[in-house]
Amino acid sequence: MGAEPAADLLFTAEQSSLGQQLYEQKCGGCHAPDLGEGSHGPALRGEHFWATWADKSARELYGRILSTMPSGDPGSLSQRQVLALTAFILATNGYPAGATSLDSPAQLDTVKITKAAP
Amino acid sequence: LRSAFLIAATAFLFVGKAAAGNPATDVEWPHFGGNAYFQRYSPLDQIAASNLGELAVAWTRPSVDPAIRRALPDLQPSTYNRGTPIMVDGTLYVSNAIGLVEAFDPATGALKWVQHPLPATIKEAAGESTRGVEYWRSGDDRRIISIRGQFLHATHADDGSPVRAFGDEGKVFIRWPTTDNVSYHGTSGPLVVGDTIVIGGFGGAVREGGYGDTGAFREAAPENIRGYDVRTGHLLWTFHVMPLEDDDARQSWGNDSWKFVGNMGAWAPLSADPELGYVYAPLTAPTLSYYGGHRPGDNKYSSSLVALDARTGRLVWAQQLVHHDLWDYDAASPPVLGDVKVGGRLVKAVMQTNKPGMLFVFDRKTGEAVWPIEERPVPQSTVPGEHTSPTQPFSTRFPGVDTQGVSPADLVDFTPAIHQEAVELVSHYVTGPLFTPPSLVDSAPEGKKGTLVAPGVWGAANWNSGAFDPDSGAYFAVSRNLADVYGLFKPTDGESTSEYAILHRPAPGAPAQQPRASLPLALRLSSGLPVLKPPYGRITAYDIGAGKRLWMAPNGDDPAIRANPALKNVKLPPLLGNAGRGAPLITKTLIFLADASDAIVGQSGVHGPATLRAYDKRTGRVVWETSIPVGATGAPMTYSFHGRQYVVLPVGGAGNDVGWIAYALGSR
Repeated sequence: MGAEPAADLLFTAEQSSLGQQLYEQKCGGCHAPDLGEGSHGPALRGEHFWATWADKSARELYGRILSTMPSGDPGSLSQRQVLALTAFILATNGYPAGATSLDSPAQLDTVKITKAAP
Repeated sequence: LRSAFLIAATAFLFVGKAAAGNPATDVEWPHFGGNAYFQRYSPLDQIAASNLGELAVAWTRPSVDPAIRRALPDLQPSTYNRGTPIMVDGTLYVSNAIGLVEAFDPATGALKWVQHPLPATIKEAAGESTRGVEYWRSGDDRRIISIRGQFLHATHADDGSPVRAFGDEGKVFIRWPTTDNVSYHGTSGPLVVGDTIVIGGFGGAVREGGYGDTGAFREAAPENIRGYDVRTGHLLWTFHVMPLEDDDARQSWGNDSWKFVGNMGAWAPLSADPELGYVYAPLTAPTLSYYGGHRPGDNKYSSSLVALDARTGRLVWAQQLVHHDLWDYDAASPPVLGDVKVGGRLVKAVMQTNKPGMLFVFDRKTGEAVWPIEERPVPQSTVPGEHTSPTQPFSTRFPGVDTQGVSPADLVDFTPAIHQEAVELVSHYVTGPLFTPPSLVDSAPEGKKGTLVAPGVWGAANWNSGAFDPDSGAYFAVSRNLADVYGLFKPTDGESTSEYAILHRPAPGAPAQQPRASLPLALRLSSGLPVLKPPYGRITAYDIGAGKRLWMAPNGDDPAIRANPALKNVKLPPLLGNAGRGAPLITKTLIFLADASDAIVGQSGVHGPATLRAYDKRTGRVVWETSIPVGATGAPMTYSFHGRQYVVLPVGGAGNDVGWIAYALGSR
C-alpha cells in the first residue's frame, strides 16, 4: 500500500481490469503473463519492480509506459490506455482499487511508489 | 583495419565546410563497430597501462537532449540507451535514447544538433535507440543514415535536417509485410557499403513485440536482408532468408513448411569487406524456435552466416552453424573480419561466434572453413513429431567460448549446502551435453520439468561478443554463462498454432494462471543464485592463425550475486563475471569492458553502480577500474580529437539520466 493516503484508492477495479486486458494484448509478447520475469521485458512485480520504481513518482511510471511501450510501436497507446496499464501494474503490486477514477495523469503527481510493509 | 584507414583517408580528401576536426591528427571511429570489419579496434595508444591512473571523466551527456525533456515533461526515455557514437569529421553522431540522431562536440560533449523535425508530442518523441548509425559522403553531400522505428532515415550531417531527396522527405518505410502489421525492429542500425545501405532487423512474428522466439505461433514473415540506394532510398534488392523456389536450399524445408515459417533475420550487427563488396549477415532461428515438428529438415538459411554481394544482394556463400534449430541458437554476434596468417598463408578471414558458443573461422571470400568443422552426433529429441538433426557442426580447434551442456561438475559449489541444493534442483530436469534438445514438462510430481540447457536462450555469445586485434591476430569472445529451462507443453488456448511451446514458469508470489507460452528462463536456487558455477561471463582470447585459445578472464563482476545473503562469510573470487551483455573495445594495448546494466533485457546485468575496467589485451589481467553510476547499455568506442584520446561509454539504468560518459587523460 502507498505510504501516503493519496496513494490508496487511486483507481477503480474496472480500470485495473481494462489494464489487464490491454496488458495481455499489447505487453504479453515480451513481459511475462503474470508480470514476473519475462522473455524480453523485465519483471513488473516483486523485487525487480521495487528496485526500479520504489520512491519514484507514479507519474514517472505513467510517463515511461507512454514514452516507450509497446516496444516497436511506442507512442501508440492513448492516455486512457496508459492510465489503465498504470492502474493494473499498481494493483498487481498491492495498491487497492477504490471508487475514485484515475482520469488524468496529474492525479499521479503526488503519488510516490512505496513498497508495502510486510 | 585497412578499411578503417581507407575510409579515414577518403575523409581527409573531402573535408566539408562544416568539418571541425583536425584531419592531420584526428583518429576517427567511423563505424559503430570501429570499422566496417567490425573489429571494435582502434590503434590509439595515448591511453595506456602506464597512465590509466590519470584517466578521468572528460564530459558526460544525458541520454536525450534536455531541451526535448523540458518541452515534453512526461517523456521518460528507456534506460536501455544502446547507442555507440561514431566519430567522423570532428563530430560524434549517435542515436539517442528515443532514436533521434544527436551530434556532439568530441572535446566537450556539447550538443551540435538533434535530428529534426523535433518531436512536438510524446507520440512523436516515443522511440527507441539503435546501437549504431552510419556515415556516408560524396563530395560535400554528407549524410547520417539511421533507423528509427519503422523508418530508415537520411539526415544532413551538417545540421540535422532531413535529406529531402532520400525516400519520402528523408525517410523510407521499412516494416515487413506481416499478417497483422507487426512492428519492425532494427536495434543494431544500418550498414553502409559503398553506395548501398544494408539492413537486417527483426519483427516478422505475428504478435506485438515482433519476437519469434516467444509465443506459440509457427507462422511468421521471413526477416529478409534488404539493400537500399544511399542517394535515393530506393529498395535495390532483397535477400530471402527463406530460400526461393529456384534455390536448392528450399529442399531443407519438409512438409512445405517454407510456406509459413518465418523470422531468421539478422538482428545482430552486420559487417562488410568494402574491397570485396561483400556484406556478412548472421542469421537466426526459424519459428518456432524450440519445436520443429512442422519443419523437417535442416531449415536453411536459419542460424547461418551468409555473405552477400552488397550491390545486388546475390548470395555468395552460406554456412549453416546450427541445423534444424531447437534452442533459438542464433548466430547473434557480428561477423568479425580480419586478416590472419595460417601456416604461413595470409587468409582473409571472417570469425563468427554463435549462441551455442562455437567459434568458427571462414575464408571470407569463399566461405571455406579455415579450421576444420566436424559434424558430430548429438542427442535426439523425445518430443512427439520432432525431427532432430542427427549431427551438428563443431569447431575442432577452438574450445567453446563458455560452458556447453550441463554436467554435475558445472553446478554451483560456493558451499556444500549450495551445491547440494543445486544437485537436487537440477535432478528434476533432463541434462546432457551441448545440443540436448528441449523436452516435455511431465506433470507427475517426480517427472522431469523440461531440459536444463546451457548455453541458455541468450546464448554464450550474443551481439556483444567478438572483437579482433589486427596487431596480434587475436579474436576476443565475450560470453555469458546461464542455464535455462526448456520445458515444452501442448498449448490448449485455441490461439496457438504450434503443437508445442515453452511453458512459462510462474513468478514467485503470482497467482496461478492457465499454462502460457513463454521464452526459456534461467534456473536459479531459492536464494536467487544461478545453478551454474561462476564466472557468469568471460572474455576469451583466441589466436586465430595458430588455432588455439590464449587466455580466459571473467568479464566483470556481479554485485548482486556478491551481496547475496546466501554467500555471507563465503570467500569469493575477485571477479564473478557478469551475465549481462557488455561489449569490448580493443586499443593498441588494452581492452575496455564495463559491467552491463540490467536495463538491457536478458535476465541479468547490474542494477545501480557498476564498474568499467581496462584489461591488458595480451594477458587478460585487469590493470585499471573505475566506478560508473550505472552499468553499460552499449559498446564503448574511442577516438583522438585535437591530439587527445577519448573513450566514450553508453550507460543507462534506473534513476539515472546519464547517457554517455567520456574519459580522457587529466582532469577536465
